[in-house]
Amino acid sequence: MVSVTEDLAVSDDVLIGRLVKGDEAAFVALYRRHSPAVYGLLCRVLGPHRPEANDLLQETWIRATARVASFRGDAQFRTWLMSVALNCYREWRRRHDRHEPIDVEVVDVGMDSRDERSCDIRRVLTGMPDAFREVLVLHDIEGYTHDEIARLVGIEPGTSKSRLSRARDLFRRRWLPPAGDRHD
Amino acid sequence: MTDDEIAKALADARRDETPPAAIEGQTVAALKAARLIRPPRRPVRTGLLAAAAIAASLIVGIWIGIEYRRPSPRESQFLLLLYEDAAFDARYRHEFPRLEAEYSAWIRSLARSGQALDGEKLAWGGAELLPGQPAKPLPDAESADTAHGYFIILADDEPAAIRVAETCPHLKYGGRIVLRPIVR
Repeated sequence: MVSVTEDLAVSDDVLIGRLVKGDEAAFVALYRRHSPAVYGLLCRVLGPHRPEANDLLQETWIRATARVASFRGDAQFRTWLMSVALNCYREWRRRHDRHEPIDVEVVDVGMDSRDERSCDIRRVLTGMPDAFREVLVLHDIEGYTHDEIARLVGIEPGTSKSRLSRARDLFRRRWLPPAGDRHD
Repeated sequence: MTDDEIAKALADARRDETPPAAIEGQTVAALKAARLIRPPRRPVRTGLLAAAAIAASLIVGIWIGIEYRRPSPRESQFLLLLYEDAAFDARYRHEFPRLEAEYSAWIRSLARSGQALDGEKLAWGGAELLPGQPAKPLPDAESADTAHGYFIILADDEPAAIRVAETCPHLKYGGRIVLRPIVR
């Protein structure tokens, strides 16, 4: 077991420099620092396919570690890591879409009673078609622009805009509506 | 509810999520298997040894994660293009992190013995360019005609290169490799 306690206060830049040389403790420190954000992103964008987040998180770190020497530092490490995660997600979605229908039905997920409002949002997002959810998550939750989404997801910026509009309409109808009308 | 209100509600829902603890250990194990990380070493006590290590790293070329070296003029370079079909994808779609780690370990092993120059996984997308025509985006879908990755290896001649390519794990999993000599 590698002790990373002393690395908790070390900057990303220093840890990245050590990781380039293969330092396991530096990897573990970076993993623990950034994985909750990456995992949260993957869970949100995956929706009902949330169990896939485990494999995609692992794939993200393997790919990022193999290429960390090419990280130039002109963006924050977490931003770069998120783009690696979204590339992994994009490839997963292409594979998944060939085997499963793109639109998914509402799938109930475990609720977190600490935050009712957020849980409702998660329920609505989970029940949305994949193509709508990913644009809504990337634009309205993660803050990506349409140009960035187009590059990350492999669609045209105009498609991203139209999907966002339709996704918001769907969200508007499904979020906190009268109980009997939620899935109309 | 306006779009801005929806965007704000969604932005408030952004939060980190802690991944299952087991993922860290699995990722570390995969990275070790690929020799991308290693446990901390004892610090080098002798300045002479440190100087020798720096000199050695200059001899083998730019440090970009593995010890790529400059090929000698007499050595031939060969490009290995990796293809996979739908059956490959269906069989291993849940094991890509493990396969990536195994492929990384293979190319790193070759690099350490001076038999490899480069290697990358290729992302989706790209374009086909023809004279006098606008760039045509490649289909963003799984295709057996589209290369999914490449390696550049070094060998004395083509038979020797084939013998090296035959050890690539891609073949073990049913993938296809095309070997092409590079003109130097």
